[in-house]
Amino acid sequence: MSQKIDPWTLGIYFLLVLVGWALIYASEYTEELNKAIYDPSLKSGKQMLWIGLCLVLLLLSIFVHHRVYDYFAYLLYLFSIIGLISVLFWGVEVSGSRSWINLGVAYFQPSELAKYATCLALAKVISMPSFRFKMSSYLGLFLLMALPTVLIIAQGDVGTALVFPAFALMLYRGGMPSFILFLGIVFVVLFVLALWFSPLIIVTVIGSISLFLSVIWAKNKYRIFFVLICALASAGFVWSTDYVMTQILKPYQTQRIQSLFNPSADPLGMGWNVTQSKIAIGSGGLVGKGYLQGTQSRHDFVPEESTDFIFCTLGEEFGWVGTTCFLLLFSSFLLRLIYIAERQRNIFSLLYGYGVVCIFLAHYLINLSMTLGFFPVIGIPLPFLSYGGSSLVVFSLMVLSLLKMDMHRTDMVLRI
Amino acid sequence: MNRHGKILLQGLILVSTLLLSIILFHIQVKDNSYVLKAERNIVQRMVEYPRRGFIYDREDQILVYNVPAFDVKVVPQEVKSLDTLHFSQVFNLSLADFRESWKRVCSYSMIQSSTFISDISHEEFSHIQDEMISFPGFYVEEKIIRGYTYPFLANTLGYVNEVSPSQLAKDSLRIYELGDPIGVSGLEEAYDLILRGEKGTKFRRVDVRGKDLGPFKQGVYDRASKPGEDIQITIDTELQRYAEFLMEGKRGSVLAIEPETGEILAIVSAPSYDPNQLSGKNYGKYYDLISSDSLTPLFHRPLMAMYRPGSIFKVAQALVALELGLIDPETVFPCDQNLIGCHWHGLQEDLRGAITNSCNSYFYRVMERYIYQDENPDLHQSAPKGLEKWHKAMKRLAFGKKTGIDIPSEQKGYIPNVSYYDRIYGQNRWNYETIYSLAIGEGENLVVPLQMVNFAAMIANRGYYYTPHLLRKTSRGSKREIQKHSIHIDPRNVEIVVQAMREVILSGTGRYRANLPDIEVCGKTGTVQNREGEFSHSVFISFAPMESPQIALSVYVEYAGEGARAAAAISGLLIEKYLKKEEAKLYYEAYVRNFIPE
Repeated sequence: MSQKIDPWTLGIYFLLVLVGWALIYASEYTEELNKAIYDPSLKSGKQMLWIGLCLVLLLLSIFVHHRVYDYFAYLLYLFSIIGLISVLFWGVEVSGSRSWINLGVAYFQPSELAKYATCLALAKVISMPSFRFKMSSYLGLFLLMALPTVLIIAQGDVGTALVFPAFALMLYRGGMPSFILFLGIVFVVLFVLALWFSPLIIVTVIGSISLFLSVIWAKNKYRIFFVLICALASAGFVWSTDYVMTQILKPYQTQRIQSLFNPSADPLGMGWNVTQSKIAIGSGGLVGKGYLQGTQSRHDFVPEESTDFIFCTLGEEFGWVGTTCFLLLFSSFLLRLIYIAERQRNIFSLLYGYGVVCIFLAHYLINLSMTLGFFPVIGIPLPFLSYGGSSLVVFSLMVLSLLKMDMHRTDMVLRI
Repeated sequence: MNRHGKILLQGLILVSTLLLSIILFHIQVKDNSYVLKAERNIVQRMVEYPRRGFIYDREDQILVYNVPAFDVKVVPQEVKSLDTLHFSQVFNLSLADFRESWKRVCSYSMIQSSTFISDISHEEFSHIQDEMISFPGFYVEEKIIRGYTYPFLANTLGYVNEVSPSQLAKDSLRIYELGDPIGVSGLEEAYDLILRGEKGTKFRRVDVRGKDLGPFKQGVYDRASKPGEDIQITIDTELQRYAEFLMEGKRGSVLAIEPETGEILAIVSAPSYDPNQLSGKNYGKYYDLISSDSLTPLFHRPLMAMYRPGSIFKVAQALVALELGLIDPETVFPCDQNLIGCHWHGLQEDLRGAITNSCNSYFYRVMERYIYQDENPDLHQSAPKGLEKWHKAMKRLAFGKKTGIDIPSEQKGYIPNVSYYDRIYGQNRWNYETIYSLAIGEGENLVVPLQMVNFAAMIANRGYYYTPHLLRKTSRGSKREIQKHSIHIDPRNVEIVVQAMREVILSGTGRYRANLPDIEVCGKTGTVQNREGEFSHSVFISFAPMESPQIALSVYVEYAGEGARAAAAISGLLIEKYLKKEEAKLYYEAYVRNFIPE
């Protein structure tokens, strides 16, 4: 007994993809350019081929059995890990990160696939009937997430790696205790603080806070013990962040992170991206300059205007009305996905749906913050809008898999 | 399973979307500065430099013009697979130079173009042109530099350079902008405003690499440039060339002037430099070379070198004393070696004889009468009054002040006054005995060669002169009024001096080398003493012909001994060359060319 495919999700999905296609053309368009949007020498022409591939995937995902995702989750995970490892040896380096693998006909990013595979694998682990949230299972979940993250960082692609912590929200929905989520948030805050201040300052602050708490809770030995453990862990984390910043990250990444704090100090250096992206968006005004009329993104003032900075083209040519329409469209897409996830009757599909939302939300927030200069320029696409075959195909696969599961939500066997 | 997860995620999506929308509203709608910044990004103000005016000589022969030169610019990001070695060979760079320039442009910007090599000449460029295709990311930009027909007149013409920050700071009228060319010395500096024309501006739309995408708003804001005016100067190139030829290997200066108009016919500063070398890519190296040269080629001797006037000053003393009636042509003084050292000539001289033989004792007496003219028995009281009058009289002859020639860095020279001696010896502590060496052009007097040629011109004119100048006219005809100055001396008195100066050539110190068979030359030698053991400077002023003079000269040859030798010979040759043109016999040319001071 299968239901019909959710028209809302599918409709917004196609709308986003088409908007992206039009913006990719706009980002490359010049008056002299006498080529149509489907010209294969243009990025928009290539993107059209990828959109076509997505349509094929759509058909495939409808005809394939709905349990394949469940069955092959671990296998796909294994496959993506092999891909991530092989990219370290046979990968092609593009602008500082070795993330692409040459498939002969096209380049592919295993890191994109890894997000999808990890999402499926996590959903499968938690949906196992025997699964309980306890110390040993945390370790397993952590390893499941950490393995691709570490491999992706090793490629030099910090942007994609930053998506994986977002799965914490999915685990939370799956029943993970809230204090673990809280701890995770604390570490994220500490990480951001570690970028802003020298580790010595932060550790001094942590030290004085724990000293203060120890004095207050002087009679409760367990609490003091807990405070000390927390303080030590935070200090260690802050120092390791600093170590990552100075030792592990590539100089261009460290520079990008530093330029975030003062982009205008070095307008032609690393801050250039952020300065120019804000100029492009800001010059759009209320309703924008009109489609194909932008001057900043089209004439290369904004770097990577068709991929990571595609939002600039939107902001410049359609103004605040355009950007806000996009924000509403994208957030309603996410809310619709949550709605779909919630109506699933098995935990695997439900959690998988949440995982997809987490991935999209991370991309959405990090990409826009980066474009608006609130986050380091780390290279992360805006789902469906940014040019790029691997990301479009994998994002589509995520949505289509969920839709397929949704079509069969009633005939799933409950496993609890 | 945790139901809070749903609310948390929904809340996160809604709050962040609302927040992003508010931030975008602020950036896009409220803050207008981004619109301006975007316009500044795509609109490039391009300066259209006007053609700088040419400089012609008095025969309309071109002296200074414009030649194209090329700058190689680079956009570092666009440079792909550069063969450094090949590049260095093509552009004749050392690898170290290449690396230094590369570092410089990369530190400026990776995506905006900057100059990699500047001022490649037209000839060099023709070899490089075909190779440019193998260096993607490198572009060529044409610009204009100055070219000079002759390798002389460098200090007079001056040169053109990019305006310096200190010049910009001084420019209160805001005529210049960074990157503008500006005349740095000589005529280029003096007439910069005429020569430079008016810059034009064009507003173009560009992409990030500066690629031109067409006019901005159909060019409504554009303004066309206006070419600079050409100027004609008073130099006679043939005479100049000959004077340069005669001064080769010597130190000193030659000035020739047309007395009737004050137009400078020739102006030589020796040694000099090649102005072509100071234009274009060798500028830095060549400037360092000539500015550290011990023979100071950048020092414009005709206007800046200050010498003691020497015996020529006796002519000035004769003029002012005659005018006051302190002497007349028949006044006779004995030549008294006890008074002041003198050359061996007659036992006593009248005025003409004294000038002809340059008698020191005679002018000792003349100056004595001048200084003590109020006949006060207290000589310490009398001397300052006399000196005061004398100082003014010398100023009337344009000594001790600028002549006002139309190129910069002219020096004033120096004529001592009462306060000068009061400061040295104390008030009423000095009299004529103290200062008598002024009479024969020694002592504290200082003159520049330009003042000497001007002096020759005022005698040639029998009592007046025009401000010496170099500009004849500009192409749009804005002619400058040249001022006529009277020296307030009776032409009859000047005539007496003229006769004496003729006698100098016929039978006096000038008879050996400045006496031309069919030109009536008038002149006076001067020998400016230097320190013990050094040769004196050889000086000669002259004009010719005696009636209706067409040329007046002052010639300085440093460390060349007596004025009667090198300076007199050069003057004679130049007068003959100027008045006779091709028919000149130029007997003393070999003497001058091979001159060795004795």
